[in-house]
Amino acid sequence: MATTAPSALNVRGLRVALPDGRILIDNVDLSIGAGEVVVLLGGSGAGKSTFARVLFEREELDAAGFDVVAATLDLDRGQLGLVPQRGALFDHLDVRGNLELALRHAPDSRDAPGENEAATWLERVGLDPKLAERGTPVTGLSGGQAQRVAVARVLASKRKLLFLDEPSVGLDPHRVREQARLIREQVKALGISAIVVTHDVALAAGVADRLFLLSLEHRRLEQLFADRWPGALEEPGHAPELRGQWLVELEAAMVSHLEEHGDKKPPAGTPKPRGAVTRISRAIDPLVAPFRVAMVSLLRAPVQLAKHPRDFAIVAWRVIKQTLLRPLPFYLIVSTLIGYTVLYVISKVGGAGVRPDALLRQIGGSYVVALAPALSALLFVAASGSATNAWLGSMGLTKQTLALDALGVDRRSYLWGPAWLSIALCYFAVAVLFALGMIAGGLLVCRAYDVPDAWELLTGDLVDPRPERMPYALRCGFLVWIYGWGIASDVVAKGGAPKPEADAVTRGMTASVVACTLWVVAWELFSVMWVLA
Amino acid sequence: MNAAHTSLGIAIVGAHVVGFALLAQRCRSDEFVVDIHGTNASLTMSLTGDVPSAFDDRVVESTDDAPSGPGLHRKRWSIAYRGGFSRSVGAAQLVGPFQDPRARACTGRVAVSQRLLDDGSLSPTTVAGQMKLELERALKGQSITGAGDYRKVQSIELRWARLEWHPDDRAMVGTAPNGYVRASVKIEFDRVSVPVVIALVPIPVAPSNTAPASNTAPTSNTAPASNTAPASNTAPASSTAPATNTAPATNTASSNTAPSHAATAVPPMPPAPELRFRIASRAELEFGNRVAQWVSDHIGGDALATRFARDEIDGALLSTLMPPPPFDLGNGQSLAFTYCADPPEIIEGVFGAVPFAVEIKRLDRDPSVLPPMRGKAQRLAIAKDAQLAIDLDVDALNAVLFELWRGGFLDRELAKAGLDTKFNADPIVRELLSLRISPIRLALPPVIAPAGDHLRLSADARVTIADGASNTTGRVWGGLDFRLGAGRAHGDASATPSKTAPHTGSGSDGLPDAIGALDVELGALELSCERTSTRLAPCYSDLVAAVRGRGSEFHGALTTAFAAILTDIFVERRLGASGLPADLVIKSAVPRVTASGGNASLHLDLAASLVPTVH
Repeated sequence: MATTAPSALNVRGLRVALPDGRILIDNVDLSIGAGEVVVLLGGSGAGKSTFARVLFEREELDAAGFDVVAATLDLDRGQLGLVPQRGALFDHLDVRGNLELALRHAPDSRDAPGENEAATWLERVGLDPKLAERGTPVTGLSGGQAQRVAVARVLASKRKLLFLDEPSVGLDPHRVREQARLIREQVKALGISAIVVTHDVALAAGVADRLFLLSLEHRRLEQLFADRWPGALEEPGHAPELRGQWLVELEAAMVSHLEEHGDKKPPAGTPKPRGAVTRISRAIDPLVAPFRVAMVSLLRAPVQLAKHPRDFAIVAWRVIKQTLLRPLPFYLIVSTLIGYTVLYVISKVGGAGVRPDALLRQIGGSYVVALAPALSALLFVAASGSATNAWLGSMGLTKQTLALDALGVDRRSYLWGPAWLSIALCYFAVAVLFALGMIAGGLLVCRAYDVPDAWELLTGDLVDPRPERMPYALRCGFLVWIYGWGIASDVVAKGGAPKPEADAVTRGMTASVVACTLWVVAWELFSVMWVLA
Repeated sequence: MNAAHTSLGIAIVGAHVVGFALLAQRCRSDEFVVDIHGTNASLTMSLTGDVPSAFDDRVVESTDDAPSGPGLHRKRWSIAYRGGFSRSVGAAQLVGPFQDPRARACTGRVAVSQRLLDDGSLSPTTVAGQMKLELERALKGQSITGAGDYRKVQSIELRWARLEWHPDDRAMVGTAPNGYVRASVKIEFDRVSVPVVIALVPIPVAPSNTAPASNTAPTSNTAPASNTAPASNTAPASSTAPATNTAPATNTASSNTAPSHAATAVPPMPPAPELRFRIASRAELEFGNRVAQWVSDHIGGDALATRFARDEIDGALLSTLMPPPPFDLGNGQSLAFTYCADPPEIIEGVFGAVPFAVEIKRLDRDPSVLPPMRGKAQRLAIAKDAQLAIDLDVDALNAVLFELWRGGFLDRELAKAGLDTKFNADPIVRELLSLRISPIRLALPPVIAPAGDHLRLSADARVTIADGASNTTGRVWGGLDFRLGAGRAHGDASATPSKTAPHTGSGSDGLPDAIGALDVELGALELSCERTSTRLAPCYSDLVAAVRGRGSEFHGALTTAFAAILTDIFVERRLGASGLPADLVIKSAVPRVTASGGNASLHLDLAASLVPTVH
């Protein structure tokens, strides 16, 4: 079907090779006109998702070693919207929050959406507007509802070209057809274009103005039924028997192609030559990524706070809950136990005949100054850091971060900045609470030995250190400072890294614990050697 | 952009590394130190100190809580920290006015009780008893023409006397504004009993440098004779300045060649005053008729009395009225006590006292360092049951301490006490501490001052503290509180000594028996370390605080040590000049303190007895 409207997307000669040189997509041409719905069909491994990543995650592909080359890639990234697989609704927001986030970041948006705007968009996709009531969790939605909310969200973002990735996954046939009709209606109503990537023959036939197959044989985009395709079958005017014939024919074509080429691996190619610098930089990237994240977050957090305080507060509150409030009893119990144990052991060090209170008086609060930063940091990494790491990782795994990007929400500003700052601040709070817990444990020991003015004694090294203990107090403060932003940077870097599979989330958590432990150990050794020297 | 962010992030980490190093360095450079300005001695406290500006807002400058007035004072710069900790730096200065070595101020007094003079029973440990023995020995076998052969001494009575109480003596004595010793002796011969009354009037006399004492008799008195006896004779004065008192003082000046405490040679010290007795007497030979009286006059009964007085009485008296004997400080030096210019003091039937001075000499390397001077103090009366008493004003104590310090005696005693070796060898120290200390050396003379109900001895000492490879000079400020005459009643002065030889035993608590009622406690202990000779910093503060907190544990040891020093100087001594018939042996002492008006006096009630000299 020819189109006279200006192109929303124009790709010529797109070639994508895997890092090992195998060619995934070769010489793909695609042009989409305004108001057009194009369906990309293809088997597993044909490169459909990779095509989506070319549009939305080009940087990540480059970073992952993919070789992406295109003679022409005319794309207004700001006009490109995405409905990821299964919707990828933001689970840290309610239904209303998902829609309002899209509304706030729409190209011509007001900062504060209207009270009923979210409900209107839900009605538009056939959902009950009551779902827009505050506090309706996205996790309570059915698969179909979630997909519709995702569509409503991307529509609310007012993009001109929508990319719908497997929008019918998990839907029954009736809902698939409803989905198809919904897409057609909205495209028409809003005058936008859409690319639908799917396996689903029914959905493809229902919405497509043009049908393309990502060929497993040639790794190209081949148009199906170019001359005789009647257009989207869910549009009014198509006879039911005609729909049935096309579904059978389309399915036969797909099955025939997959039977013949389904097990073919991508053809081998020449790996992209990479210099030593590139290889080294790629190897050390996991190590230096936290530094990069630190700078990015440091620069963006204040901007985000100033421009989008509500978004900042939402993310920060989420991080504070999972890094500080939920594990708070853990920190208090462990720190009190450690404080008690350390001082109790010290009080017994002298053995028989040595006055425990004299030993305790000599030790004072030095055990807190010496131990609190490292112990609190290690426990914080393991408990709080891992929680936030998992959250960020799961957002990547469930394509929520991709959805953010597609809504025009910069994940680095929206997620990294507030998360980084909140983690750092939460660590400072945890360090303080941990110190107080250790002091509380120490007070119990002091009480047992009738040490007078124990509170003053145990807090002296922190609040008003004597000159010879000033370096240790300085070290303590310095370590808390550098552990705070160091841990925050690593957690955000590891959690925010691409998560192609679930194992990557756990790998990220483990890697973060190891890296932060090394960070702590390195600073402990450096600082103590310097102070003692 | 990524690379830029990464580089910037790494640069920030690098900046943290450098920043921490700089902060730590700054933290060290902000050490609390004080640059001290001032001299060792000054008429007013003139020490000043410069504190780093970082501490300006919290440093507290104060002088010590030692008694005000002249003395050894410490200025302290301290900062209090949370938890009951403080860091302080202090420096000491001797504050004047100071004693003049040439003035020989009468800062001490020897008081002899009536009981030692004559206890009424002619005990051989009293002057009267000794005099009886000497008279009997001297008169044995003698015969006087007209009176017959000597038979016995019928009676002897000695008394501290004043003319107001004995108006009959006025004609014999003439003037004796300060009192005199009245001796009544009755000697029995074959045909007659001779009652002799002798008056010995003590007179301090400025000495002649060259003339022997016997040639410097004061103007003879021409007291009228009694109505029953011939006119009393002009009695020649006897020399009463024992060589043992003055010679060591002179020797000290010439032989004080200790490298660190050399005494100055100029200007020469004026010779000390001497105590002499003007003797007046009358003898009444009791004859039954005028013929016999004529014979008595003819043989010269008063001459006999005078001879008794010169040969027997004043010799015994001199043994009791001498200042404390010189105390050998080793290295040819001695601590000397001399008579001074003030007149003796005699209370009728109670005691007679002679003031004395402590010989001091300037320190060659810093002549401005002298013992502080507070002036005369109120003194306690001699106890009823004491035989002998010595009063030492605070000035005398400080003069004694100064001399002990100047000659290096105190440093040697401290070294002998082995504080350093005891500390270094302490199992706990060896087990737990890395620091070791050198012997303690006093940098300034210790000074005693009255502090409420007790005396406070303050000392400024130096010690080298080795901690691993580093050696630091530490300035130790110590304060010892002496409480005397209360609590422990040891060595009762009224008790009759069981032995006549110096008593060297000790009580059940380890204190020498000779010193009673003495308590010494650690009143202050502070340490500052020298970064340079004028820059001080706090060091080992918590350690010192711990030692200070255990001050009560040193109580016994300190009391024992100072009781031993007092014993060495004032007790268990045998006083007497060569040629005298008896030595005065002091067996025990009970110290008491009287304080008023910012001054104080140490009063030692001594249990003493006269012991015949073995010739």
